[in-house]
This record gives sequence, structure tokens and C-alpha cells, in this order.
Amino acid sequence: MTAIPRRDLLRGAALLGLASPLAACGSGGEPVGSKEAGPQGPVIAWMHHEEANDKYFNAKIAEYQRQFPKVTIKPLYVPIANLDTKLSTAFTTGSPPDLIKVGAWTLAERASKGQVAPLPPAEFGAGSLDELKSRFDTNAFAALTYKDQVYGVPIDFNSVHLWYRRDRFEQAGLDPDKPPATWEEVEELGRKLTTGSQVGLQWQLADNIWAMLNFLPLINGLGGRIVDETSGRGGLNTPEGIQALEYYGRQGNPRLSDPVGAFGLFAKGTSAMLVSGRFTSSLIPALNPKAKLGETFDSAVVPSWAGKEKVASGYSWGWLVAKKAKNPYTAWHFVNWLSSSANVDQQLSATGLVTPTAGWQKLPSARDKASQQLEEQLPYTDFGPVLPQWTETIKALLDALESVIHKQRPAKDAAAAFDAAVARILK
Amino acid sequence: MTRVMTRSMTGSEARAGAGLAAPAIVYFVLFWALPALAALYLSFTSYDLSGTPEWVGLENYRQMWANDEFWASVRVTLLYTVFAVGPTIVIALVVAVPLAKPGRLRAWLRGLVFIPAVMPLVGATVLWQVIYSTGGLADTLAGAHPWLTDSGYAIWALLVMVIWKYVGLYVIIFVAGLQALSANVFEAAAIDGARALRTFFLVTVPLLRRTFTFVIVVAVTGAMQSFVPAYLLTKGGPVNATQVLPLYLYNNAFSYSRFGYASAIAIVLLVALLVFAFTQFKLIRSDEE
Amino acid sequence: MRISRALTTLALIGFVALMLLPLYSMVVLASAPDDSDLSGLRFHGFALFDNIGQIMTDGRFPRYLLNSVLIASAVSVLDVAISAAAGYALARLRFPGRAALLNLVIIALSLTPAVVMIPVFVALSEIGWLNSYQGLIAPFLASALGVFLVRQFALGIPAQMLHAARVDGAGELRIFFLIAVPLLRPALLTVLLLQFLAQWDNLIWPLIAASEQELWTLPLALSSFEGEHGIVYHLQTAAALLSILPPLALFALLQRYYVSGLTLGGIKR
Repeated sequence: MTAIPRRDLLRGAALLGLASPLAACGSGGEPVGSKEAGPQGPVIAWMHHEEANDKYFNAKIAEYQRQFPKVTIKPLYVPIANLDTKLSTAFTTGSPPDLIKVGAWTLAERASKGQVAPLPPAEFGAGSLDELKSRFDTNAFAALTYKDQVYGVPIDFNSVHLWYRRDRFEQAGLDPDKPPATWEEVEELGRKLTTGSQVGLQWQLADNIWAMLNFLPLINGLGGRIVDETSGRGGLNTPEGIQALEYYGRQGNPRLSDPVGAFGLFAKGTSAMLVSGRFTSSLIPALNPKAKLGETFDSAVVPSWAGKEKVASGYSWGWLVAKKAKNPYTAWHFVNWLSSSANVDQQLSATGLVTPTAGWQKLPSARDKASQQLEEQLPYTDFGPVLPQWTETIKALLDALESVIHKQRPAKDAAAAFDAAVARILK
Repeated sequence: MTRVMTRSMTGSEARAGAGLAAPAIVYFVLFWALPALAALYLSFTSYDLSGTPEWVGLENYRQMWANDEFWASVRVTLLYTVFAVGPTIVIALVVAVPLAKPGRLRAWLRGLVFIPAVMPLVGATVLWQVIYSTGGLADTLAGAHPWLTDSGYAIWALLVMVIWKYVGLYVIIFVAGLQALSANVFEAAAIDGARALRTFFLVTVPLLRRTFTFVIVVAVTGAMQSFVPAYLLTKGGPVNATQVLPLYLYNNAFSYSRFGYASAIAIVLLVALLVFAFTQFKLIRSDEE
Repeated sequence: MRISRALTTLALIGFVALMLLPLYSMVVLASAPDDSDLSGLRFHGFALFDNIGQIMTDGRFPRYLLNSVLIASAVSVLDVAISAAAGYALARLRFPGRAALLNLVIIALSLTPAVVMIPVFVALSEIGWLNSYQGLIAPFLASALGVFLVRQFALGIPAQMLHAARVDGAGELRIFFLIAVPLLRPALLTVLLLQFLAQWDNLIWPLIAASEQELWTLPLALSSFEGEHGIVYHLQTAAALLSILPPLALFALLQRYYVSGLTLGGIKR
């Protein structure tokens, strides 16, 4: 294997005469924070755009800047569909933002490329990583760890729950206070809840992360795994994988459509069950003001297979700092400040985002049922495969799930195709 | 036809010609020729943009050959090209024949039919997203169907939009071609129904040969380059049913950071497009004979 | 015969109406106060101006609009200049490299930018041009279609006109600027329009090459109305409506030139 220096070849090839004085522009000269000088200078922070979040963070930034007048936080709210591509571009060009809020599933790719900095306990005033970890809840850093190295601080921490429509249960003669506890019951109730265009459980389709979050409790609950990270093998073409795929393919109707996908179908009552996170409690009334938590719909812990151990799937977002950040001290300082319990409480009530600091579930805004269920599920929550090739791997999973639910291939073929794809991707 | 060519090249002419063409030469070398060569090189490497390209020989092509998703994408691209070009041209011709006749009303109609063709594609696709949504125009007119969520429907839904978008362009080109034909053809075609059809196939169509070739080349290369409709309307789904090659290339490069593999797809696309470039080349060069 | 002609006219009107139906529905949707009726057939309330007001004041839409105007204008003007010079030279002057350039143009005419996108992306990232106006403009400075259309048009300039000027002792550059450019006007306006529309519509390049929102253009903004959990259709459609107006206005204004310029390749014999 020879490596031809890319710089010479491509630069020489495509850039004769294109160099520009503008290219050399640097920012330079701005003060940056340090332990001695304290937080100061500009911090460029990127996160995805979401109205409630934007509003909350803008307010918090103003508040932080009042407390630390030498700091300017410059937020950029990127539409979620473009966030990862934009970040990749920014990292490639060598001018990434200081602070980013990203899905933890993208961490492995960024960490394997050396784009993000390890979490420095000292900047949080902690003597060791363990001390810093002890300020957070069980499992809080699981999704933000790659090859035994912790990289970020969790925010928007979620596990999936079973959401169900009380009204649809009542109409079908079912007890709305007895949501199904096993996947077998989900299917049985699903049959009773299916009438005309209405269905029982509707998966969240056509979306990488949600497809994984919906499928993981099925396969892991049977004792299987989507991918074994150490051997690099796909785990769908196994008895557990195929059983999970077949089950997946039997629920709901993939041809139902809604601008907001499964969330919208659940909000309208077209589907009676939905596997989703804590934020669903505020999302559903936002989509349909007639739907009321506790009256029209409710949440339960994620089901398990009869006689098997409980497995929930979860996801986290994280605050990460770029390795090439110009102002890392101040960036971490701001993150630490955001994680104070007063802010964690305000954030939860304003945006529904959980920062899982130790004892968060006792905060005033965490009294709701879903928060308590999230806390209950934490010890058995799995965050899915940690792989630098996550996006491509999960796209292959999505292909397998969709081809089964759209009845294009039997589960066995889809499983074999997925495992072959994983072998190719992780080679 | 070009008398200029019979004179001998003079020094001042060569200087002026080279000077006028220089910016374009620099541009095409920098932004087309060298990048195409670089893509060829990258297609033999494994490259994720963060390190240096690592030479892997034909590995990317071997992977492509063995990858079902690639072949599925080729099939989608062929289907898309055939059905984006064929029906569009037939509809355009059928409409163009009566529309080419003189008259104020027809001139107005020609202007109106052209509007979708000059709409920005991104804006148009955004509109069709709503048209195909549940309770949208498509549901209202044709009954509720899973337009974009069923792998059987999605590609056709996409094609209907593309045909709508481009048919006006070809109508205008055919109209111009027809109007350039001698008026007698039209007079003859207007006499009676049966004769009109005969005239159309035996006289008009052969006379329009050049226009046909032009339209087909433009339409085929356009369809094979198409990225925006599939990207915005269906993201290539469901189950990759609308993942055309340019989208497959984009996903591999910019979602999975497989720049080497994506470059290999680019080279395959390039070879396919060169076949059409060759057709076009002969067509254009024939001007000079 | 008169009846059949009337029927044909009626059928034509029907076809055109069908073609315009989506546009009508676009106006209806863009005027809706909410997303409760997506059929786009009936107006229910008229909130078009409220929607536009909301788009123009909420967020950076005006900035995107400005960027689109800037980039599309810069690219189309530069492309016209480069294409005019090269197209004329290819048609009417002999110079070293002429055949090579013509071949290059003809090949580039049918290649998709996707083919060269990756190396151009890598190269621009190497010189730090990603995230800059020049990085959004440079890859589109000229176009094969532009050069080609001007060449086709220039082939039609009567040789006598050029010859007469030469006899009068005019230099080649003088002939180009004073005689050829005015004659090439329809072709140049066509190139201007085509490139303006192409850049106005350019989604993929800004998507990968501009990570800073300050540099975003309309197509990016339109494709990003999607929030984390869905889309607000009436606002997105109103924004789409806004985005199609400038090109439509330009085309309406210059349609005559455009049609004659574009059809050249198809009917010239």
C-alpha cells in the first residue's frame, strides 16, 4: 500500500494560480480563557435549530455573559438535517467551532479522526474523571465514551418509552391504565387496535437514529446485538436477529404518511402506540392541541419480551469541544455553568431536554411520569453500536428494516444482506 | 459555411484568439480536466479526507461490483432516465404540433406552458413535497395513496414531478424546430385527420431529426445528473427506491466520508455520460463540415 | 375541420391549465394561515403577506436572499464575459489550442458536476476557500453550455461583416468588442439567464462548501425549513414562492432572447 502525498498531488493538480490572499485570513489576537485568566474571549458554539432550544440558549448565553462579561458566546443554530455535513466540512477546513452540541452517535467518527478533545476533569474543578462522573447520573457518559476515553458532557439524554393513546385503548375496550408490558402483548393489543386505516404500534420509519432506537430493544431484549463492535460482525442473521426483524415487520403500516412521520400519526390517533423519548409528552400536544398528556395519551416503560430481561434503547446528545478549538477553557466553563442544577431544572421545563446530573430526577421540573420512567430505565439502557462508520452501518440497518416492513424481502434475506453490508463497511 | 476557416492563421488572430479563450481554457483545465483526473486517481484510493489517500488499486471497483445497493442505484437511474425522457418527449411533441401554429392565444399558451421549466427546481420540489403529503393535492385529485412512503409509488411520484417540470422546455424547443420547417408541411398536415397523422410520422418527424437528437441528448444527460428531486423529495427512499447514482455518490462522499469509493462511482458516471458526450460531439462537429 | 380545431384549442388550454395547477396550489398554500388544509385548491383565509412578513423578519431569510442575488449575479456576469470571449474565439478565430478547448467544452457539456465535485471540494479546502464567497463562485466562473451557445450563435455572424472590419484595419479585439458583442446579444442574455437560474437553484455546492450560515443561499434555506420534528408547510411554501419570483420575472422580461438562444442547438442546420 502506497500513500501518495495528497497535498502535492491535489494542490498541484487543481490549484495552479488559485491561491488567494484572502485564504490566509486568520482571526488571531482575541483573548482566550485559562485557569489563571478565567473565562474570557469569544466562543463559537454550534447546535441544531429548534425553536424552544434556540430561545432558551439565547437567554442563557445572555445571562452567562452578564456574569462573565469578558466572554462572548456566538451561537449558530444549524438546521438538523445539515448539522453533520456542515460540521464535517468545518472540521475538514481546519476551522471548526469551539463548542458543538451533537448526537453522541456521531462521536466515534469525530473521535477516531482526532477532531474532538477528551473531556478534561480539571477544567470542571474535578480531581479525576471519576469525580466528575460522580456528579452525573448512572450511565450518563456511556454514549459519550469511545475506546475508553470520555469526550463530552451529556445533554438531551433520553431513553425510549412506550407511548400509547388512552382514548384508542378505551374505544377498543382495553384498560387504559394497563399498557402492554411485553412485546407479545403489544402485538396482541395491536391486532385489537387495528381497524380500517388505524393501526396499533407504528414504528418511526425512514430515519436512521429512530429506526435503530425502535429496533434495538427488540433484538437486544432477545439477547442479540445489531453489531458486535469487537468482531466487526453484523448480528441480524442470527435466530434473535431474524425473530426481531420478523416482529418488526408485522407491526404497523409503513405506507401511512404524515409530515411529521410517526409522531404525527400518533398525535392524530391514527396509531395507538409509539416508541419514543421523553420529549414526546410536549411534542404531541404541540402537534395536536386536543391531545392531552394523562387524558388522551400516556407513557409506560419500554416493553420487554415475556420472560426475558428488560432492555431499553437510548440516545444522548453531547457538548463536545473541538481539538482545534481556539478557546477550549471558556467553552468547557460555559458547559459546566449550564450543568448547574438551577440551569438543568430551567432547561428541562423550557425545552424538555434532560441533562442527567446526579439527582436531576428530583428537580421540580422532573416530577412528570416520563422523567421518572427515564430514571427507572437508565440502568438497562443501551445506546447502540459505537462505530466510526455509524451513519453507514445504521443506513444498512434502515435498509434491512424497511425492506422487511415493506415486504420486499423475507427477514432472513434482509438479515443476511445487512450482515454482508456490515462486513464490507467495517472491513 | 465558414469562410474564416479558409484564410491562413495570422499572428494577430492567433494572439487575439488565445487571449480571448485564455480565461475559459484556465477554467476548464482547473475545474474540469484536472478534477476529472484527480477523481480517477482518488477512485483507486481509500480516502476519508482526514488523512492521505491510501492506494487500494481496484478495490473500490470490486466493492462496487459486488454491492447490491450500487446495482439497485444503477437500475433506479436507468428507470428514472428512461421514464423522465421518453414520456416527456412524447408529450412535448404531441403538444408542440398544434401549439406551433400561429395565433395570439397559442403564443400565450406557449409562454404559460414554459413557466414550470423556468421555476427554480428547489422551490418546485418543495412545492411537490406538499402536493404529495397526506391530504395534499395528489390525494385530493387521485385519491389517497402512499405517494412517497411506498417503494412502489415513490419513483413514479418523483417522475411525474420531473416530467411536469421539464415538458415545457421541450415543447418550446420542438415548437421552434417545427416553426423552422416549411409552412407547407403544416398546411398538408391540417387537411384531414388521417392524412395529418401520416404526414406527421412520414414528413414532420424525420425533418425534426436534428431537434430530436438535441432534445434526447439534453434530456438524457439532464436526467442522469439529476440529484435535487430525489434528495429533497424522498432522500432516496423508501428502501433506496429513488436513490439515483448522483445521490448514491453524494451519500458515500458526504455522509459516509468514503471519498475513494464515491470517486469510483463518479468515474462510472463519467464513462456513461461520455457515451452521450460522444453523440453530442459528433452532432456539434457536423456543423463544421 | 373548424370543430376539430376548436377541440384542439380546448385540449391545449386544458393541458396548460393542468400544468399550471401546481402553481395555483402553491399560491393557495403560501397564503394559508396554517397547515390544516393541504389540498391547495381552496383559499381558507388569506395570510400570504403575514407569512412573507414572518419569513422576512424571522431569522436570516433576507440574508439568504441577498447572498443568492449576489452569487447568482456575480456568477452569471462573469460567465457571460468568459463565455462570450471563448465562444467567439472558438467560432471565428484560429489560435493554438482551439481544437483542444472545443473538445473540452463539448465533453464538459454533458458531465455532471457530481463527477468533479470531490476533487474540487478537496482542492478548495486545501487553499481555504470553503466557507467563502470566492469558494461559492469560482467553480462556476464559466460554463460549457455558455461557451457552446455563444459559439453556435457566433457561427451565424456573416463573415463579410468581420472581413470588412479587417479590411478597414480594425484589430481583432476591436472587432470582437465593437462588432461581435452587440450581434451576440441574444446569446449573451440567454447565457446570463441560464446561469442565473442555475446558481439561484444551486443546492449541492453551497450545502457542502458553505458551513457558515452567513454564506447560505435560498436553496439551503428552503431545504432547511424542516425542524427536528417536521415542517411548517405554509411558511415553507411561502418561502418557495418568494424564491421563484425573481427568476420568473427575469425570464418573462427576456423570454424572446432565451427561446431563440436555447433552441439554436436544436434547429441550426
